[in-house]
Amino acid sequence: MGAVMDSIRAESVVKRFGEVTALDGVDVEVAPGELFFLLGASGCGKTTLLRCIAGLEQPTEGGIFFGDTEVTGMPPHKREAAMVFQSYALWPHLTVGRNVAFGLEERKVPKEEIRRRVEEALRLVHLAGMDERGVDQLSGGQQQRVALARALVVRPRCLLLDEPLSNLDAKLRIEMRREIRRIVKEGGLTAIYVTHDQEEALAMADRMAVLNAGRVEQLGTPQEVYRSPRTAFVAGFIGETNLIKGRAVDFRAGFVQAETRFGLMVGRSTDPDWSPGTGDEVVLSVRPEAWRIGGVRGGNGASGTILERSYLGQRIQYVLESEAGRQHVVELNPELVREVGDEVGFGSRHEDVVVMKG
Amino acid sequence: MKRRNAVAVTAGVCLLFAVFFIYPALAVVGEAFRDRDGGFTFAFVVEVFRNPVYVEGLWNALLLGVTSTFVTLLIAFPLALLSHRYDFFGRRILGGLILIPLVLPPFVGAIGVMHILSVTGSLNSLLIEIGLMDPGQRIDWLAEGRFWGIVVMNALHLYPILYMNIAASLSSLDPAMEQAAENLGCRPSRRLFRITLPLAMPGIFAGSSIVFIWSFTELGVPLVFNYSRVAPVQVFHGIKDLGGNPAPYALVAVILLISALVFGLTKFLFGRSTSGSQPRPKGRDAEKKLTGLNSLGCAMIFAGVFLVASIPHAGVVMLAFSDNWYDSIAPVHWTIGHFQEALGDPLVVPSIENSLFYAVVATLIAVIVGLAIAWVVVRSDIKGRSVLDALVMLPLAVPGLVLAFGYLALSQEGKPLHFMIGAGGSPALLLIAAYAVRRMPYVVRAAVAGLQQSNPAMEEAARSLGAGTWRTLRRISIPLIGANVAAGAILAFAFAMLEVSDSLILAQQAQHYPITKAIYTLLSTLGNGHELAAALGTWAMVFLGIAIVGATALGGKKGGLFKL
Repeated sequence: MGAVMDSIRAESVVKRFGEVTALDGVDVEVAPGELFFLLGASGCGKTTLLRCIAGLEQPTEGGIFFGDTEVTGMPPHKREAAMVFQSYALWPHLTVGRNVAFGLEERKVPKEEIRRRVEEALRLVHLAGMDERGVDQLSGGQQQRVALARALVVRPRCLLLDEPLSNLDAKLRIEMRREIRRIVKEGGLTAIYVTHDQEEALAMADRMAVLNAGRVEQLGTPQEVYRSPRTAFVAGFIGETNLIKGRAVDFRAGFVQAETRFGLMVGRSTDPDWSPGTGDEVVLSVRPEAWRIGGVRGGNGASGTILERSYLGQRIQYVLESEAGRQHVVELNPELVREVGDEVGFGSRHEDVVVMKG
Repeated sequence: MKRRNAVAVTAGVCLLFAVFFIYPALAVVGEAFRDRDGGFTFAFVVEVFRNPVYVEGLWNALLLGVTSTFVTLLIAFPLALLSHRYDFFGRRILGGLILIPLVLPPFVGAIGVMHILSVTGSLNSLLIEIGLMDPGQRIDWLAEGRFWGIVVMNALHLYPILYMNIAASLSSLDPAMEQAAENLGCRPSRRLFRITLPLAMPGIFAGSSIVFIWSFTELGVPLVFNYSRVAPVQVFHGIKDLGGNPAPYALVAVILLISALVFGLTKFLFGRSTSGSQPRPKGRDAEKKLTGLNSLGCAMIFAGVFLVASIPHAGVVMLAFSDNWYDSIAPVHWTIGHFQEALGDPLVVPSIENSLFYAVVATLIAVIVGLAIAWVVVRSDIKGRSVLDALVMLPLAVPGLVLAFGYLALSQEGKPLHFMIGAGGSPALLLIAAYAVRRMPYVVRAAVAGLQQSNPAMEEAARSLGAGTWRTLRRISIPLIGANVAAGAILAFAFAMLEVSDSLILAQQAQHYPITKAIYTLLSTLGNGHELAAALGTWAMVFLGIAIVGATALGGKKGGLFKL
């Protein structure tokens, strides 16, 4: 697309709707050309933040910046931030071509150039030649792509996507993930993508912010957020995890030793600003795939009884009853199927366990 | 619903409509094209267009219809847009308040306006009082501006219908549709013309076509204002020599043709458009909260429209309480004597009883039949259901005048519907049939809206848990749509109570008069006829006001009640 993309910055944004605080001091910076995700449960404020960036809501406090320009008070039609709506918001009284051309017509682009750019945008989303169709004649996936083309064709300073895939079926959704990432990356676009689907975020994001109750819980790459959650909320929201309570015994070189119902366990601390003292309450997070039945030499050890088993082909999920409550365990590429009622030992490597403030 | 039942309901309703709606309407048309020997002829219709008096009447009616519709649109659209876009001081209450002018048939309001605009009326008195008019050179406002008087009366009475239609179609838009335009660089003022207006067109046209047909065939206001050169009034006066003169039939046939044309054209142009109203997304409302002067300004506009629209009502009420209102801004002496006297008048109490009886029975029929129709339309899959849906909406397109005329013609001695005339020439059955058929669309629309909102899975769940058809209906379906149906029923009842054209034409003997005919008759009595009519009108107004507020509270939110 060739437009000069800007970074996007939200500075201590607060948004209140009457009594309700939707955003409670959010700081986010998105680098030029980055595909950035806002991830959280419904009601966490992620869509509100996106709408503040688009100018569809006014922040109660704080500011929004595109590059060095403050856009906080600027009306939406002057922001050049194209948005893809959850409902697509295609206008039924206009054809596909006219829908896509709309933004260019508003910018008084010459007719000939409009025709060329609309064609180019439709080709980019694999809808070449569909410009005469009515939007009601398109399938959900096609409508989604028209919405995308309509936003892209104006060469916006940034692209905002509000749960763009939530109305599609599972198979199409996975296909469109790749499509959108390809288009964003090929165009070198700065994009902010809102979703509640953690898998979507892990699969597509360059970086992401996990929001909870109007605050950013954690910012980072998918690997960082998944591997090194800073809070119990993030650990539980991104992927599945087993949370175990304990008390810190020792802290050394980024590793915490803690007393738990499984006895002494060791795990990584993920928050560089946190150094637990002896006796402090902590929470340990162990991913189901980090527990290995049979144990790990030199790692944390525990034992329990198999309570439930689900065989899923490439993996088996067990639920174990143990001293520290129920533990979810996933065995990938299993060689041996264990029976319900079996007593097993299991364990994990120190670096696969995360210790957080309790 | 079982297929067999659906087919039975469809067949029954079609039969009912064939006898009480299509047949009378066609009879009028047939009468207009049949010569004395029973052969086909264009002569009468041609004669209508040759006769300059009739041509002028039709032209005036058409002009009244078009002008009233435009003026109505000018009031309704900005109001609907304001309340759609902005949240301002007192919006909820004001939004309800501006619907209230609907409570008075405009011809009753016209009585009030006459007393305000007459040579010795309030306006002249006011102008003299503040020194803008010379008492010796008063203006007879109604003589000068009769046409515009009717237009304004129509517009002030009908704008709530259009307002609700437009508001409903705006509120069913996905707010993201407008936001997307803004997001792509479209200024709010341009957005109105490029996105909002085109998308709201179906609602605008649906409402406008009702308003047009209503004001095109309005009989009461021109009668009261003595504006006789308009087709509906010519038809009304033509009834007297119906035997010899086929011209009224031809005139009615032309009126019907024009109405049907307008309605059909609207349906053809906008009937199929889904216009982004489905599926209703979960997008947030785009309304902006206004503060300070802007908020106050919006509120003032709404309050202003309400105040202006209530002038006729105020006139009627003042007249009803006045002891000799003459040559002053407001009555000098007040009395409740007219209300007492009205109760003693031989016309008044029977007319209230009559209207109650006619309206209650008509409403019952409309509700039972309407519910069955709604059920077939929403829940069955038989082929004829869209035809059925269109059929029951047709009464909105056919002027009351036409139907009344058809009934009148068919109930003459020796005609097929003569059996409907009761003992002593009672028009009870005719009026009940007319009221029920003409108010059916409101009930059906309300019930359809209710059924569409309640998921059939809820009924299926009850069935799967062991409830039979009847128990499912009683315990699940009726409670779910009860409010909607009640709202539709109240509206149908209220409109039946104050129906004008059927009532004026079909009720011939004083003891069978409904309220509106009683008011009309009182108007032409000497002495304090106007005051008595106003007193009766005030009763009716209070009554209708309560009914409409009730209907709105029960389920008329977002104007669904009036949506086509």
